[in-house]
Amino acid sequence: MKILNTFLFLIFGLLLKAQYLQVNYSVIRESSVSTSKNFSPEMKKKLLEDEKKPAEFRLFVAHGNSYFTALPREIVSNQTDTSKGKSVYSHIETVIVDPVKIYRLNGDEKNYAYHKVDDYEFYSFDKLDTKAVTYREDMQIIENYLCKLVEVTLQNNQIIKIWYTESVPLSAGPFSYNSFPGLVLKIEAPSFVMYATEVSNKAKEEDVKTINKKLPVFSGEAYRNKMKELNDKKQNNQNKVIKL
Amino acid sequence: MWKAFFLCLTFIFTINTFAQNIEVSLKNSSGAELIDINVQLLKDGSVLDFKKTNQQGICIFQRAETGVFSLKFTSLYYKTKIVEIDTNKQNSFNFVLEPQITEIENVEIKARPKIAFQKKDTISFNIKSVQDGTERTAEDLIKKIPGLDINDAGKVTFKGKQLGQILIDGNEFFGKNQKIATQNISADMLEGIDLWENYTKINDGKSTALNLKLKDGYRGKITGDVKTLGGTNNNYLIHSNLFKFNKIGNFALITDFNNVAKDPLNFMDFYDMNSQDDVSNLPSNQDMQAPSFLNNDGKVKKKDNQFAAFQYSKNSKNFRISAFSVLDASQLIRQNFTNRFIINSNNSVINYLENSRQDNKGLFGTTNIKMRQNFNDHSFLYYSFQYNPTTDKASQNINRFLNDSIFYGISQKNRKNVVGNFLSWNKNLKNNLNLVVAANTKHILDSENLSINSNVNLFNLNSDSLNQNYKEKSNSYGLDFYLSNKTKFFNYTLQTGFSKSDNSANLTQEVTKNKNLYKTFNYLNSVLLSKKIGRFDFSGKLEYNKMEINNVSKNYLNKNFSIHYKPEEKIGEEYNLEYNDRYSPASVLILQENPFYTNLLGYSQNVNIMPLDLVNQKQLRFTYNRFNFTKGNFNLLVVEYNFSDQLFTQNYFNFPQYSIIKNQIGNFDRKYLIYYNNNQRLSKNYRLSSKLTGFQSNNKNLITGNENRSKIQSLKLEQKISSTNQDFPFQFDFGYTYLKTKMQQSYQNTSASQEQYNLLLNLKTTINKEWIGNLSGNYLVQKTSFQTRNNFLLNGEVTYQKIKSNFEYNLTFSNLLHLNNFDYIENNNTPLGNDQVVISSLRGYVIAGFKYKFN
Repeated sequence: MKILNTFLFLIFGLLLKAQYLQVNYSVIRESSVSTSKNFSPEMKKKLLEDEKKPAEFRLFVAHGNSYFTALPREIVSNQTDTSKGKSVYSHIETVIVDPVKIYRLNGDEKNYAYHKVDDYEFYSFDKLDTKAVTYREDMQIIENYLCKLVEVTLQNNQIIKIWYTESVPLSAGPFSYNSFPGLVLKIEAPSFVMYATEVSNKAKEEDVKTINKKLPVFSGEAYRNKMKELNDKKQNNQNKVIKL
Repeated sequence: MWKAFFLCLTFIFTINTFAQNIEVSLKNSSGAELIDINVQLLKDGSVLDFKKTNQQGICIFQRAETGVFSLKFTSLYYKTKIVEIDTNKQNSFNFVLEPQITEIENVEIKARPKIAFQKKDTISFNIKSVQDGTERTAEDLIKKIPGLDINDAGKVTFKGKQLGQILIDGNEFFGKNQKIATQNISADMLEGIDLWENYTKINDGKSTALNLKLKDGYRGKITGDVKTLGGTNNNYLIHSNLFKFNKIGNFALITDFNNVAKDPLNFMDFYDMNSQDDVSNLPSNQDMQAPSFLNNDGKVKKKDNQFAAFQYSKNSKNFRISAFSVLDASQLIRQNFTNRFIINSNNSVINYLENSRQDNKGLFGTTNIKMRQNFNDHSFLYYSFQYNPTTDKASQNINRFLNDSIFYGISQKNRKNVVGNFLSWNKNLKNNLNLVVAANTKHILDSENLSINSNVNLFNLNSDSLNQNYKEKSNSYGLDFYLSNKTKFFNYTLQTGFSKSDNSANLTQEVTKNKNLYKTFNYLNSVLLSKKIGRFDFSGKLEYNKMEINNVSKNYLNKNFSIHYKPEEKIGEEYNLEYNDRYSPASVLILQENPFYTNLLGYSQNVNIMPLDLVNQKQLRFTYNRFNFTKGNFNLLVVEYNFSDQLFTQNYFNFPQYSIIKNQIGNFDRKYLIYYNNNQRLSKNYRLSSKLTGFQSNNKNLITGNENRSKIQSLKLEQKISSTNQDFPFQFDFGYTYLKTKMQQSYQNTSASQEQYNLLLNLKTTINKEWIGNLSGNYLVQKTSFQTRNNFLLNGEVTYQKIKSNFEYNLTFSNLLHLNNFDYIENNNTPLGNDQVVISSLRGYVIAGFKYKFN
């Protein structure tokens, strides 16, 4: 009997590997960088048009690991040429958006976010910092899935509404919203609405990227100090360039 | 001090001792620990907490209370299992899960964020799904949400029914004056909109309410704006709204000064402010006439407004207050040119031309305070106060061209003061059993002076002038008891009440005086039963009244029945059938046996109506609606039949210089109404909205003592296609409105008809979130039996606000192609005659200026 159980478990174990979840998400955002005073009116206009287009994200899950990332977007830039005498001076404005890469590892409740400041690469980790998590009775059907509502109150009192489905019983979702009893299909936050556009089993083994263990990992105070150090260094370097 | 400290420590320690760990361990049938399994801790079906099993196959919940809970295990690779645990007996639990694979299906999710979500009695609208940046006010947003609309009176409707309240973050805002909220709260301030189908009012009554939820940034500081615009022909508009929403209460101050006929209040607001909905059993024998200066039907030559309103509301655990004060002064000019054909009392047709100009000036105020104090024994006291003073002055010059030119100068001054008090004590006796004791008073003082001068004898009185003074005084007191309960079998409310009302009317004309006194006692007993069976809701109310006026009494029974059917919860579909049968007594004015002269150059006089002759009105109403929350598709059908065989009617005697209207008992009145509204998503980027309104009224009156059947038929069809492409900076509405009205009188077989075609193109744009513009073109065809007019009307508004700047620049234009004059035409057929009317209306204007925003 025990042999039969072990055999069945092995067969079952093989089947486990067949599940590679991929979820595509879209995001409608409120404007952010386009309102910055640092940009020219032309640049603001371009940024605003860019922000109106939904941003695309992907979530890959397998073997208890997950990887959440943003699809690359066209870089928004603006060039203004001014001529003084025979010389033409070009003023180039551009926005470089940090890549979104968030990893979660099997058996680890933390979310690892990838950062790259200049050429320095590292990870920070955190857990969803909440004041309250309230499971509500509200339900809605998103395509084939019956979704339930959980409301998360953040430390700044913002309430995020998260719709998850137990039909896909995986505790997975975008950003750090991945600790609920089912796959997250929609997030309603004050500044954005993120919604799943496709759920599939078509991800590949290599899509579920995992962290590079050689890179350092910071959290909490250490992470804030590191960021400050890197930003100060960056600022100094920029000042030096200007002095030259 | 130390004692207190130790006590505190002991307390904290005690609390900690009660917090317990619930440890759950999961294995498979081979005994291997199961990691990454979803474990939900539930109580009565609700999720309390969620954990995943760790590398040892264990998860731990912390709960302060012990008892019976459920655990639900889910995983992609194991069978879902729900077990019950009793933590009074043990804290550690082991379970075995059976393998079962949930295969992930490939699903493309076409549905985008829903327009609305329903939870029990609340529907939350996702305003982000309809917003495209061209919205300026809450009204603009509300109009875009399927199912919600704003009617001609400025009231918000949902599925065709007028909503009871507009709330700001759950607080009442200017009572029932919904327009003040929808037109003054800007679209930017809103985070979301909720519809509450069972809002508990400050007096514990139930109502529907639209709750406008503010963004965090608009709380705790002064927000709002001041707008100043000026332009052609000395036109101006100065408007300000200032708000402070914070913990010590919500404050709002709104002022408006303009001479472009933008009305902060209309006559429906007046009725709402005067209705004391707290008084439940006072017979409605007061004629409530809106001041003439509020009656702006869009066909006025000139209208100036000066308006100020202040609101304060606060909600705390035990005390709620909502108070507001409104002061509105207006000046209005109407100018009509009428070609009237009347059926003379000797059956000959007489035709004359009339040029009439009316100048109205008036002042209307209201102060309304509502307070509620809760007590620990599940009871509360509720008090409300209202004070409404009104002054209405009208001067009118009429020139009639018959054989000679006849001139009438009419001056009329009305003053009215209403003071109302209401006090109730509400007590929850046990479970769902509630008792309410309510007392109310209402005092009304109404006076009217009418003075008419002419170059001919007036009303066959051998005098070319007439002065009339009319005073009506009413003091009412009421006491009511209500007992309501929700039982297993049905819900019921029993009411018993008593009210006393003294009405006196003094009519003085030159040297004649007439005084009428009416002492009214009304005893009321009613029972309301409601029962839910499956998806049906049944409700019935019987209201037995014994009314005594001047020692003569009469009994009557008001009835109301309704059946409501909701086929399936997930689909917003409802059927409702309602029947109403109500009696009401005559107003004191209708009972006047002496001639009562009016500014319409006539007088009314009671012939045979007694104080206890009652009007009986019956209504049958069927409503069907269906609302698809995802697509926002909405259907509403209303069919209504109103009928009466016991009512008051009029016998008309028409003369070239005046008319006599004799009030008497009548016996026939039928009204039919059909209303259909459909709002459909055609594709991702287009919506189609269609409305059909059909109305027919048949009633029987008399002309010169002969039976006359009056018939009015009206058909209105509106269709509009709107773009909703949020990725595109330009939006449009394109549609038409067709209106046909026909009026007929059987006596001498006269009729009148008019048609109106309106082709509409509305363009809206937002550029860089800095420019908002809308341009509206209407091609309007007015067609009557005597004339056809084609006009192109061009309206628009352009605003520019630099991002993060507090200034917004505004250019507004109305009826741009008719800056000198504009006329409407009408063809009416009433028992008074057949009128062909040219109405001189507000000419176009262009105004420009700026708005300063406090934020």
